[in-house]
Amino acid sequence: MESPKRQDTSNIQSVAPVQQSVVAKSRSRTRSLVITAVLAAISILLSLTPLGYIPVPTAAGNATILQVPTILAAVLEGPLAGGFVGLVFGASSFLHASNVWFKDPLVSVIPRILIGVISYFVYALLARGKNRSWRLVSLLVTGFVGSAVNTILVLGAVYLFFPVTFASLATISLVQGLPEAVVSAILTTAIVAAYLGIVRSNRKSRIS
Amino acid sequence: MSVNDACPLFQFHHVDYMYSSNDDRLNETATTYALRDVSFQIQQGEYVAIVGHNGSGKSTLAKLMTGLLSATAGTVHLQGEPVETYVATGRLPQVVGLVFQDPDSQSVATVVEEDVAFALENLNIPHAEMHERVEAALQRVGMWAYRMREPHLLSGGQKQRVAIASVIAAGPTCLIFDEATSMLDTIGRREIRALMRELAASGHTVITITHHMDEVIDAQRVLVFDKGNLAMDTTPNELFLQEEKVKELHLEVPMQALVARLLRERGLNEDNLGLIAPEEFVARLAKKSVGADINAASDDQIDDIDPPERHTADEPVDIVAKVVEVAHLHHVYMRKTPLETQALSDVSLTIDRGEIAAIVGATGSGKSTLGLYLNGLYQAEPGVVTVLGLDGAAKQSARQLRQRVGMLFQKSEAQIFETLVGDEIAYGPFRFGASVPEARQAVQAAMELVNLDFSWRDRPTFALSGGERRKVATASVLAQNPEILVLDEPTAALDPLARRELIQMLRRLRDERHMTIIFVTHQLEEVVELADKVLVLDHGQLVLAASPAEWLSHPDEVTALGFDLPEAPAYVQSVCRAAHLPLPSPLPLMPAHALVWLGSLCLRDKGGI
Amino acid sequence: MANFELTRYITIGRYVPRDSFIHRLDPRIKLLCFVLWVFAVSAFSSIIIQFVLLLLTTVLFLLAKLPLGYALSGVRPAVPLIGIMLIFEILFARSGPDATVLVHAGWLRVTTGGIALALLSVTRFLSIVWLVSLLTLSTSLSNLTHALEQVLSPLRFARIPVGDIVMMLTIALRFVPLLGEEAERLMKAQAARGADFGTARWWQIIRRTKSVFPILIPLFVGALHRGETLVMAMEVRGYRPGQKRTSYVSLEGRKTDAISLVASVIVVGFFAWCTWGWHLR
Ligand SMILES: Nc1ncnc2c1ncn2[C@@H]1O[C@H](COP(=O)(O)OP(=O)(O)OP(=O)(O)O)[C@@H](O)[C@H]1O
Ligand SMILES: Nc1ncnc2c1ncn2[C@@H]1O[C@H](COP(=O)(O)OP(=O)(O)OP(=O)(O)O)[C@@H](O)[C@H]1O
Ligand SMILES: [Mg+2]
Ligand SMILES: [Mg+2]
Repeated sequence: MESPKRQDTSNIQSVAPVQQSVVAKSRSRTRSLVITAVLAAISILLSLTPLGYIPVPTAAGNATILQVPTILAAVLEGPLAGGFVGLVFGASSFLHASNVWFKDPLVSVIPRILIGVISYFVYALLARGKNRSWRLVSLLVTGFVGSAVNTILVLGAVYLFFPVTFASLATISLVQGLPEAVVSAILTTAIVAAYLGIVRSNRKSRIS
Repeated sequence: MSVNDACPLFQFHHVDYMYSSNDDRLNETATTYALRDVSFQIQQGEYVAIVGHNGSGKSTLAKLMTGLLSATAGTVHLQGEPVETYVATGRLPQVVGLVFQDPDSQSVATVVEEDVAFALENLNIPHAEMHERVEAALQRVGMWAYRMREPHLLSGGQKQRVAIASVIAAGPTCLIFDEATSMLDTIGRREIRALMRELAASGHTVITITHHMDEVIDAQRVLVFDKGNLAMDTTPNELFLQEEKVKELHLEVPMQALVARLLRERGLNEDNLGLIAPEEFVARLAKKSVGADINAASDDQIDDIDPPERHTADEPVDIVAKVVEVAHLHHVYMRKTPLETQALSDVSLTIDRGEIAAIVGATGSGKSTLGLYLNGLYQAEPGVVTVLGLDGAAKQSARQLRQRVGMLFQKSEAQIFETLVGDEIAYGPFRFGASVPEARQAVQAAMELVNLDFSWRDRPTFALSGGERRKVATASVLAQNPEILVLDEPTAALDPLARRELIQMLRRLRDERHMTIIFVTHQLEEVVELADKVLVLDHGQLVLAASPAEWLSHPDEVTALGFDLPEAPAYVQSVCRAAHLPLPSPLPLMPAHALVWLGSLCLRDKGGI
Repeated sequence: MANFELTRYITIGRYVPRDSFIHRLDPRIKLLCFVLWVFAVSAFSSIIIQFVLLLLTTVLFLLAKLPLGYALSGVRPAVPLIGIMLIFEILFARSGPDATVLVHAGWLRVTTGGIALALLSVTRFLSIVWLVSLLTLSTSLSNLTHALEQVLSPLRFARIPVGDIVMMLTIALRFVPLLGEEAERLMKAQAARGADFGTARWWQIIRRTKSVFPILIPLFVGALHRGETLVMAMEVRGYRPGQKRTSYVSLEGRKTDAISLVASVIVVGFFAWCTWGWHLR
């Protein structure tokens, strides 16, 4: 296959390197725009349907996974994307919430933007190396922290703006927040691994 | 355009493309070429079909043509300039438009007209002109009346027409269709094909990627891809002269090519055409039989042709029993909302054990909904559904039904969730309580059925091609070892060979395991080839339940419901129409039988001299 | 999740065309008024003002010729949770020393403050439900996003990419019903393969989480792949982020629009004066 002709052609290709970099740049921006939009769409979908709630034992009877798209946006596309999906998540929980507290934008919106931003920095700090197992661990931690941020900030805002006792909020944050963080960690990891194709190299299927 | 008129529209010069995969687990895939040393030119105004097996690199080619990918080696020129230049300067939409397979993933806006305006907004077209061009584009595809609709409330064919409008609004001279018809029903497909022909006739360059040979015949030129190589660059006529080669390349030999061979054998094809259209066939006959009245052939000489061969199960008598009984079934979606839809109304039917039933109907006619009832997923409210003697409405039997009735959904390749192939296929057996050795055995058997090597069980699912993913999904349903198999459009988007293999597998399942098979399809050829019974749905009503032969013996009724006749009878019908002959009865349904009949026409004429 | 009718829950984009002055209002003005009114509902903590606001929003709703029940139907599933929240607020409110204790038994303490708070929450909640429904039922999604684009456009001077943000929002809204259908199909497909959501014991959090993998993983991954196709479709249609684009839709304000905005400003301003003005004196 390596005929001399073929090598010639590779020279011709260097005609448009500048244009290629322009195209590549604008493509990666379009791409991150669309991926962010898709995650925002999932965020809205989860908040509208029962899909966003997983029946595990918590104070509310189920753990919400509404924060997961925000965390994913932060991990996949960076802090601004995370912030945007967080904003959409917050706005949609403000617009559709059944919870009286969330009808206050300071409680429902601002903390959610911060989930995206903080998750990004957690992941960026941890996932420096390329090692697969380490990336999986970083994802677990990010998923956990992102969800914990959600619980702590939202309840913190509730404490600031609503006259509710501290002890009761602290109890909620443990009973509700801990299982939620576990669920969120597992899901974040599983989804990113499936999307980017991160598999532990020696894994065998159950039937092997 | 004027300056570049001399240049070919597309010029590929020794193009390679390699997907770089950053996964170090599968380093063998990291080095496979999607395209290898491809060179060709396409001139302004040509009508080109691109064919090849699943994964042969056709979509990659379309992306290279539109600058979505850049060649790993070699060059791609558009009107004499590197295609990247067009992309970088934003002129591309004015020259080339690309329509994708999935009508859902290509619209941007929440209203049809704004979606069509999207490209124009990007080109900074002034407001007033933009409105004119949007109207012109929507009028052209016949969707002007739907301009205010939300795209997700349109049918597949309508969505695809909007996608075409939004590409032609920018005024490109060239349109590329990447399997734009493969997810559509008969009507949608016919509309899009007609649109393609019309665009080609009005001077556009049309490049269509397809698995359907009738679309190849429409074109003037065909490029055949095989494992990333450009295997042939020829005309459809030449291509189909080489039957062996065509089969080797995973393609199909269309009826017109079979007729060409027939005439060659009879010495009526001296100019060695590869394809002979019905009108041409009649013309040749008329020329040969000097003065002979062609109507003489209308004798019932073909009476003795067997109806299509049917294998019946080995012990049919004992086990024939009604495994599915549906009586007066109704289904309403989104009850009490503005979007309320009556998806099924008063449907009654029965299916015997070991029978293969095909469900056909236009998009939205309720085919998938009916399938869901057979599986215990929906509980009939008005109506009774009894499957395998179990009451479909009883909650207790739902689980048992799901185990004994396997169901393969539309676009099943998108439903894979496990990381490893083995786990994915074993999911069903485990859910239904199999032990590890049992599951292992079930997985092995299922993988054999779909021609997947058992060693693939430890492969990651994300590294599979679309066709392979479809096989895994099929295997994961078969692993449950169901008694009834329901498949929703299983052959859509498969290449002709894969489609044939699937059909053979289904026939084997019925013959060897007495499985009852119910499948949904838009391809009447498949119905004729496989089904014992055809159920025709129209706007939620079952308008017909009969054997394919009975149904197709009244071609006018078939076409009145919006279907196209299968290839072979359609050919016979056209011949009869052109020669003013009455339709033969029974109408030959399979190509082989049609050929016998057409052959008899030739004989008759010669005898008449 | 028994009946698999997920699309039923997707209530966004349920534009109800009617011939009312609220429907005809310029969407930009509608959006600004909406923000003003939401601000009013969130900011003023006087129970009287909140009652008046609830009354006014109800009147607006009726003026838009929209069925009240339609807005309520969205809230109905939330009623039990609202009840729980109310009880929670009544029981666990931090109230000042001057609050009258109505019931006091062990840790249980019900005060007038707590009850007033609960009442305030309910009125606010209803007002917001009305306002949101009013906006979304009387304005098409497309108009809403265009209005947002123009309302936000001053932010361009702060180098905020308004075009990108609105494009993301449009795509997101376009994708929601699509993904809803997809999720529904996945639920059916996996149920057919024996998936059963919630057979693990209640404390097995990991197993219970894994039981939703069959739906959530293909949903997310499939959606992201779809996104990648869309990127290509946008690019071949000449989209380049950050470029200057013309707009197909042009919005034109009329006199009624100005009047509505001024009226809203006056009403909200009056309440603001009532709340804060008294204290200033
Ligand atoms: N994004 C990708 N990453 C890695 N490999 C890819 C990617 N897309 C395609 N491939 C591989 O490149 C080859 C060519 O793919 P392509 O999509 O061009 O095939 P195709 O001819 O369009 O097939 P089909 O008829 O199924 O649409 C295949 O082997 C495929 O697995
Ligand atoms: N989950 C749903 N919610 C609301 N309406 C639905 C739903 N599923 C189907 N419908 C509607 O019910 C009707 C029948 O749908 P169904 O999916 O059974 O049609 P189909 O014959 O399988 O069509 P296709 O060929 O497009 O797959 C259609 O009008 C469709 O819009
Ligand atoms: Mg393809
Ligand atoms: Mg269907």
